[in-house]
Amino acid sequence: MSAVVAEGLRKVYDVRDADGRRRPFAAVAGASFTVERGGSLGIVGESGSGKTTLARMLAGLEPPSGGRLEVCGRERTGVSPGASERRRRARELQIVFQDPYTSLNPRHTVATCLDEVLRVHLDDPSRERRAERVLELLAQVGLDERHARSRPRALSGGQRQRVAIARALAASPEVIVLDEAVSALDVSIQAQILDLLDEIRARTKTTYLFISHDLGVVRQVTDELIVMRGGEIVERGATAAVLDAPRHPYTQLLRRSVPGPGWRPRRRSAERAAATNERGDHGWDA
Amino acid sequence: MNALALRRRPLAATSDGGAAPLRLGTGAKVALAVVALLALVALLAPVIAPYDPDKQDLLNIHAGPSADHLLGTDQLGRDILSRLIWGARPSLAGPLVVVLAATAVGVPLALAAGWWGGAVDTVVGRALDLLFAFPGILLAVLAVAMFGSGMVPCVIALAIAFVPLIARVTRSAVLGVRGAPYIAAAEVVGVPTARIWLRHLLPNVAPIVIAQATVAFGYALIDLAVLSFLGFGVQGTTPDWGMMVNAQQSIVQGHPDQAVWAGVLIVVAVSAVSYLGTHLTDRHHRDGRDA
Repeated sequence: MSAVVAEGLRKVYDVRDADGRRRPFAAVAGASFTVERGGSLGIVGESGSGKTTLARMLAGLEPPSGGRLEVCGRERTGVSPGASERRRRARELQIVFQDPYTSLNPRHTVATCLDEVLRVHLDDPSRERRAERVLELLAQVGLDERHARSRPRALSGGQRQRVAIARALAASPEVIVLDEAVSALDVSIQAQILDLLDEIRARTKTTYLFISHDLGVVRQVTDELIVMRGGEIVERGATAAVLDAPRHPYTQLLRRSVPGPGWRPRRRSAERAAATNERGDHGWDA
Repeated sequence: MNALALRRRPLAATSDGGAAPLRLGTGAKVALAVVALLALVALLAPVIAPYDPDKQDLLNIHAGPSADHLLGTDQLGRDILSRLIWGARPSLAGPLVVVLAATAVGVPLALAAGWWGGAVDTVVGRALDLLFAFPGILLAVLAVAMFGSGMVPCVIALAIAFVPLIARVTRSAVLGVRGAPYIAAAEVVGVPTARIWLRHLLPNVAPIVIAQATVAFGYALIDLAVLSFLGFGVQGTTPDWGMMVNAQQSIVQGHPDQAVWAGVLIVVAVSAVSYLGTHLTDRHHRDGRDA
């Protein structure tokens, strides 16, 4: 069975153009894809391509304007869910955000942050069981008792992102959406977190939706890939195949945009500008 | 974090970011001390007032300062110092009730408006704007016209008039916190909405609410003093600073002492509280920038 099925998922905003007229703007213009259970789908694209809007719709933070979304075989409708439905959805899908500096409440210790989730999701939510589970979760992401008593301010970026991952794991979800989850981290920490994600997937058979603009990172953690541009999916396929032999001109451009030896930013910008003129650049990340 | 931030928060690295103890500047410390002193005087009035504030001594009216009466006596021979001390009670308790009531009504309205947005926000916002356009004193005078003079109608009317003052600032603070990823994460992870409000939203808007309530306290103190001065507020022989400023008879007869002292106390209390409120607001904005 598929973990996530999206059919023609759309998000349309009303924006005002330069003349102050309202016009619809499609941040996501009909996205269809399927992720099998235990699979890992990468979603790449530049800023403003609709990746984050897509992630927010998957997590139920943004109601879709149209289309169909099914998670773990259950349809998700736009109707605002009650407490028990929210709890059930939480066990199906969790999200890890880009910025670990803002995704943790600065006032709560790590233990409080995880405990809050366990209160909702443990079958036996007794104090002892919760405390025990907090330490288990921290161990899973490579942290320990000392970190449990810390507040986010006392932790490094990598440690905070580990906490955010532990919070997602606390609900024992089937699917985890990682929205640029390693983009804010420096390269060596990125590698650690990616290893951690790989290890978690191998152990728990969790399904990943990995949203990123970093093609190297995507290659490491995903099996399949979709490439988004201007709210539309322009290319899809097995990750290695798409990245090694991109068919769509935009994917080819993206791949050439990765900094490397002999890389000239100015030439890439010009190419990009030429490609963008076809559709009109909206210049903002929804 | 830049050098300035490091100097300002020398304990940040070691304090683990916990519930930060109140670190105030010198000016704010003085202001806080003044407020605490006035509150203490009000609480301990029966103990520290040298005389019964209502005890008349008609053979000894308008007496100047002496060892017996440190600030002299008024037109009925009552001890001015004792009346000032007892007067601290209604003069400080009145605005306190106004601000607490306005906060109790304004904060939930602001939470609802900021959280749900859309139609709720529009309706609440318009209602607050309407109320905001209506001067508090005028509302109080209307209330007095309808229900008669006294502290109670004045306090209720001012409390209503002060709701927008609290709610508007709180709403914008809620909007700021509402969009924080840690709120979104709590929603996705299934934390009940009531708990998100209590554990995530309220604690993070509380500093700005407290700062604004402190500023509002100063305004309420002045407004209530004005109402008492006009004869709408505190009635009868109850000592109150606003009423003591209005001791016209004595002033005409060349004895402005009690009016001056009461006026000085009002100015001191309002200045201290306003300074404290402004300081708290500034500090919140500063912290917000480098958080």
